[in-house]
Amino acid sequence: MSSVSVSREALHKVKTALGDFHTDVDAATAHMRSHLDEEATNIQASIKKQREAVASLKNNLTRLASDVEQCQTQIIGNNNRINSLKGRIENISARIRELDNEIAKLRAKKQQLMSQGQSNGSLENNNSAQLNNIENTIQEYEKQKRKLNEEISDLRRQESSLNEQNAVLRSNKMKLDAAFEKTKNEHEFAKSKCERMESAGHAAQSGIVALSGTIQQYRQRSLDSSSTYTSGIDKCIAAIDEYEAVNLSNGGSGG
Amino acid sequence: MEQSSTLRKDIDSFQQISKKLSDTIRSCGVDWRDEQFQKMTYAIQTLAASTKQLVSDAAECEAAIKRFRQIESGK
Repeated sequence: MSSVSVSREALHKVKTALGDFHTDVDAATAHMRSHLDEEATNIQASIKKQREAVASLKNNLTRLASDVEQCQTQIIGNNNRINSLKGRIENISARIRELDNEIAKLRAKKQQLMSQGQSNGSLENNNSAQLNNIENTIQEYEKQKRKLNEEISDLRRQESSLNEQNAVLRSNKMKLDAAFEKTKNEHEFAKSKCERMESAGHAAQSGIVALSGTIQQYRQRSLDSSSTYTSGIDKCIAAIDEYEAVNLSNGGSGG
Repeated sequence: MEQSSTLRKDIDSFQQISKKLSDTIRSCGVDWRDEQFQKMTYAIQTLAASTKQLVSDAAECEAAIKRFRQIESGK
């Protein structure tokens, strides 16, 4: 030692400070590493949760798209049935018009036969049989007309029911379309957020890994240094003790 | 955000630990000019520089975590 002026108390203080530093660094690095581990776990859990939310929205979107398609298919199916019913109603109406024409012709013929009979003064047997036949045919045609009209009424009821179904289906489809658009927007937002979270999470995780390494190195260097200099100070204190013992035995003073 | 504040407390804690050691040694009024003292002074200066580096890395990490939390909370 070239120029030394140091008290034992000062060295003890330095030694205590190094000891405290050793303990504090040990505790602080343990805390920080624990917090970083917790942070890394939370980031991973948060990204996982977001990925699950995106997947759930994607499933909802697929289900809604299927519902919209199903609704549209039902509407098209109903429209086809309505068109088919309209065709049948048109055919039946045409048949009724034909029957009306036939009936009109038969009534005209009946009138003609009756007029002929009246001009002859009496109805001949032949004419009478013809009139009966015509009347029977008219009755038969009227019966067919009633039946066809009933059929038309039934078909129109079916058509009306299908139109009502379509009104409900169209209303449902509008709601499904709105829900699909809303879910689509939510899915796009969630997906974009997930991608940004993954990117930021990756940067944060890299930062955590790097910081954990730095902490480990710092801890090791701090503990090595404090141990080395604590040991050195112990040697100094021992040297002072020795110096004092020699000086005291020689009647001098140490310090 | 809570975790980030915890990290900030850790960073502050490191700064306080390093400052405490320097202050204590300075307050001892040690007039100790030998080679050993020079080595110790150098080691403590190196540790102080390491602490600065640690604090800087921790601040970067804290900023990255904050950025993540901002995205997570939709801000």
